[in-house]
Amino acid sequence: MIRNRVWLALALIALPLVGRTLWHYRGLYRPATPIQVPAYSEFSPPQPPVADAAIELPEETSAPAGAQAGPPELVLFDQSHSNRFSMSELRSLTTALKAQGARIEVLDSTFAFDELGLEGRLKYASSFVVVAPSLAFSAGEVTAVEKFVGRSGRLLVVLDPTRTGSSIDVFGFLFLAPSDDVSAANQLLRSFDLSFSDDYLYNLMDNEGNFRNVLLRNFGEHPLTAGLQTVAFYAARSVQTEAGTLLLSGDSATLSSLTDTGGGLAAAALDPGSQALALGDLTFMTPPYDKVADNARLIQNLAAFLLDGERRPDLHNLPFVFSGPVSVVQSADFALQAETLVALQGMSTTLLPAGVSLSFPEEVPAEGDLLVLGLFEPDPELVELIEPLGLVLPAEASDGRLAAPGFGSFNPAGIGFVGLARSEARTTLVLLASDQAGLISLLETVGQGLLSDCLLSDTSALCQVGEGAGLGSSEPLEFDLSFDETFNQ
Amino acid sequence: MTFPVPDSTKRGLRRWLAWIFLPLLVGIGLAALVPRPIVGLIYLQDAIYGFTAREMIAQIHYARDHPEVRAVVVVLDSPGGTVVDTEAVYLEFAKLRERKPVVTMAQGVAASGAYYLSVGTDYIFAGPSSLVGNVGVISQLPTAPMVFEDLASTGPYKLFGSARDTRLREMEAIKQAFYSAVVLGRGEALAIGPERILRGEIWLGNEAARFGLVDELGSISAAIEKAADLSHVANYRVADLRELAGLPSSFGVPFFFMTPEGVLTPYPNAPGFYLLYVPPGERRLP
Repeated sequence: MIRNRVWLALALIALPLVGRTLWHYRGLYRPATPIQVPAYSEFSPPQPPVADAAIELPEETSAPAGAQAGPPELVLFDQSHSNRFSMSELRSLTTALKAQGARIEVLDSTFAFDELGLEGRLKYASSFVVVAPSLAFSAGEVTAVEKFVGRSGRLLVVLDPTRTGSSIDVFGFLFLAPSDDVSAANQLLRSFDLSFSDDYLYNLMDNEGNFRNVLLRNFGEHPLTAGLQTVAFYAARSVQTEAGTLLLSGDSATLSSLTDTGGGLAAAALDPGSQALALGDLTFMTPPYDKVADNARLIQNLAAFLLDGERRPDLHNLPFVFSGPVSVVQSADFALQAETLVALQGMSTTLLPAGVSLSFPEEVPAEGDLLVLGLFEPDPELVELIEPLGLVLPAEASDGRLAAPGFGSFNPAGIGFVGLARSEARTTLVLLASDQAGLISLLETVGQGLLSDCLLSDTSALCQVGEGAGLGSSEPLEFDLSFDETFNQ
Repeated sequence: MTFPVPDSTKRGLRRWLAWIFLPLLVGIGLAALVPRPIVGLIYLQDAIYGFTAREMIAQIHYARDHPEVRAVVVVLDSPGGTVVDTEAVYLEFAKLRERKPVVTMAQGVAASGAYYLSVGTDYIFAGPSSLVGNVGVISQLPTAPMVFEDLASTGPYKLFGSARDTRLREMEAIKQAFYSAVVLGRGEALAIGPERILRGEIWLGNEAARFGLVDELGSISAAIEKAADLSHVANYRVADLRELAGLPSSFGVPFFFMTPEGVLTPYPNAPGFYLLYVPPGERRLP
């Protein structure tokens, strides 16, 4: 009996407890799955890839690899368009260039005030490098660069999406640059079937430490990509070409920031003529990124590309048509006067940046470039030098007129003739006029490269150098219409 | 007229009173000791930084140490914050979830570090137009090492912390951990892969639900019900854990930079690694 009462009491005690518990608590919480957190210790900063095969980078002070007979090839760097880089950043490239025997010249913003200007300097440069410009190129500059590339000069245009925007300090006031890097570069590259996009490439899946650092493993066939396995670009603009060569491309996960699409986008491309190169990144050339992956090899290849152009100077390059020291040879009937020396001195000064000097030997040397000064009267000593030009001098013609290939025959009075002859051994520049005053005038014109008033072809030119018939005369010249003559702009 | 009650009956009644009502009273008294379950609310309506992280952790500890708190709802309206503070709170939530469910309500913005916290909870609600996602890390890179005439140090990076490139790579490691947290937290619910998530986009709540970044669109009420459901409680009480924990209503050092003109900017006061969403129009970090 007592036992029943105890059980009842216990049940009565439990009843409210159970009731309240069940009122509030309907079960036990069990974590659905083991609580997982990231294995933080496994996440370490990614390290840059190293080159499969080490490349020996030349020291800046090392001797040029290839000894050259003539003056060193000149690589002209543009710093005159508010370019957002400093030459020290390109040390790996300039070191490679110097090691391969090149000479570096920087075209800064003061060039506009010197006589040569961009066009003048491109006459003796082997390659022209434009990095991150933020000012537009003028129409004249674009034309000059087009002509330069047309004469086998090499053009390298480098952009970098981290080097955009620029302000110009004008008398203490800051103005925003009127043009951006993409517009400026595309303006220059338009005629070479190359263009940059106003974007940057990224790859979220396979990159070099950051999504904007893309690894490029697809290479176009060209010496520029020789020996490359992987190239790392550190924020790069994409480059397009229709008929040219896409040199460095990413994989299918490499996308453009402009569209978030892509696949196989390129960060470097070469024009169809393999003379102009567009590179979408500058940073890969700067330390420490110039040592990552095969970047050092690419920089070496770039240097070789800039110096490999088969530069063929013609009369458009005047006076920079020589490839070494020049011997001045004059006809016997041409006496050196003070005016002549002044004109020659001017030419010598002009040629100085190109590393070319003038000398006045007693006899015609067997080797080396020549500058031949003479009159239209035949000089037996010079006939051999003039002969390759195919001229019919007035004394040899029945009508007393001068006949030049491509220009027909004409009255030589007041006319100066410029001819360029090339052989494997030497370059010969011939200046002829009907009298001494005309020849001096012609020498001044050629010395300054001011051939805008001349009829010009690649290897010969006719310039007005005095009064008489010829160009300034009402008497028409008898031009060979089959020749595609050009007025130099 | 009264009827005489026999003594034996009186004794029987007293006996029954003793054996029925007293135990019942005792039972009722003891039942009163069974606490009414609480679904605790933790609000984060600021960036995640030292001060807010300490407050959140104090509330998490309160929830963990008090059995009547059966579940927690985190109400987020935050653009994220520092990496270290975000990770600290995230790990505390992980400890709490071993014992109690935690549900997120992405009320306004659950971006970057705030979304990091949410993937460390059991269920995520978002408003249809809440801003969710922004997976990634930001940091201002240090300047190149330099020396000063009047400020000496004992190493090239003593004043700068690390090289620029090192900082960039450290960001990548932090990002990988963040993404790992997302994958672990969302599991098979994720409908998009790393190539989309790691772009750092911020999505509307309904898009985030479609992509599996959140579980459901809803309100705080729905989040509370879900938390109660996961913890198997009914007739519960909802309480702000900040009040229960007795946290003082003090304010820490402001996280966001204020201009001398008094304009509060969306970028932080101090340099460092951030899991932070900086709205368009202001991208500068100090």
